[in-house]
Amino acid sequence: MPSISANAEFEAFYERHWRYVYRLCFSFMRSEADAEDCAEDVFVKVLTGSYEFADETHERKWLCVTASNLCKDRLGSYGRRNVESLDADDAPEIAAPEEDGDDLEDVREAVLSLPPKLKDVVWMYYYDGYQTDEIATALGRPPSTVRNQLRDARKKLEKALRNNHP
Amino acid sequence: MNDNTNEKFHTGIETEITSAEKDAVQEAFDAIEPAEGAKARMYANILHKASAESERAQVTTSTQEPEKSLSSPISIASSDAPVTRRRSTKAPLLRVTRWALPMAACLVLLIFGIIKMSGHKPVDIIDTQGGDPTNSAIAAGAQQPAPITGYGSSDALKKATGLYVQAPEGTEEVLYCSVGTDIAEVSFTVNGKQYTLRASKRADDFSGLFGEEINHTVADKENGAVLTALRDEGITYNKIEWKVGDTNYVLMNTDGAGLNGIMNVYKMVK
Repeated sequence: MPSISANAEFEAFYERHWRYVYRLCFSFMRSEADAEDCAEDVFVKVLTGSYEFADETHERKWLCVTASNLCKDRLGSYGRRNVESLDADDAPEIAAPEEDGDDLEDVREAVLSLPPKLKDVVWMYYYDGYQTDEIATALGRPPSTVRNQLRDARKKLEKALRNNHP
Repeated sequence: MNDNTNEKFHTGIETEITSAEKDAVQEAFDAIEPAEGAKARMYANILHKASAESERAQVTTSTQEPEKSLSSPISIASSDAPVTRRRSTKAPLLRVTRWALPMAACLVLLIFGIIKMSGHKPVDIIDTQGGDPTNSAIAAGAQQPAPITGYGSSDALKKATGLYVQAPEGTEEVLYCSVGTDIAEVSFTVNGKQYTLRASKRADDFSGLFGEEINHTVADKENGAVLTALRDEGITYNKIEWKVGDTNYVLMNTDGAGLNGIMNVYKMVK
């Protein structure tokens, strides 16, 4: 990895997870600069803390929960929930791959527009492949709440998903 | 809701979701691509932030334990701002800092006091912020990053590591730190590009720069300095390595300063 390392272990850890953490943070923050900032802070926690992970699954789960909590805190701190950017330079930058079709773009926009409290559930269920009970344990929410949130998210995504896969 | 109903509900939502739906959402997340150079930029910022955080912790400790302050690394006045990235407007944060920073400082002091008295590891504090309920699992061979410790000057760093590195005069964003116990590092900015100079008595490659080697030339015959260009994900990185006495030095740039840029800085630090 072409970076200046703290040590080989951390470098390998960063190599394994940087893109994952960035994607998760971007899905919350919807801005490249903020996503990078949050992702960095997650790794700083790892570097300055004394964390020990059982395996890569454990690493991912920790990163997922920590990153989503950090992003939600940041969004709350900035009072940016459902608020459009005030500054044109700071406008949300959503990368739009040229080769992607409109349907995928619709799904992506719908996913990124989900409220933060649903986004972590959607990420863990759809992207990480956790079952709802596992998500409930990781997020410290009742399993029924997680299922309801997944159902709510699905309703919000319904139109975009229907267009993508009629 | 009893267990039976709960199970039906569970089965309901999880079986309603088709694999095509899952794939579509997964693709949507996968389509999020970091900007060019984000990987190296983020890494450099992580090291900056970690170093600054370590420094803050040391300042707090030395405030709490004045009798140790003479032998402890001291605080620095130099800027430790992360490099070369656009920052978003965060004015509300500034307002909060008026009362939040003093409160946070008090909290940190209190927590350090508690840790010292109870002998707990700092992991307990950060765990409450991280929020992983499964984090108690500990395995043999687990990840343990080397500590980065920030220092206020090259002299303080030398006192701690026995190694001397110095940022050239007139450079900006100067930050001194040790990586583990045997690497001294100073990072600084010249003409908007960030450079890192490391010194160590280690014989192996302690630069931490990896990638496909695309060029390897003698940069300075007099010093035996060798310039190596590495490439990863389409981005080129440069490092110059040389030795003085029994100390090995490496100067690195990861944000596109180019050969002239790193050579000019090498002439300033060699």
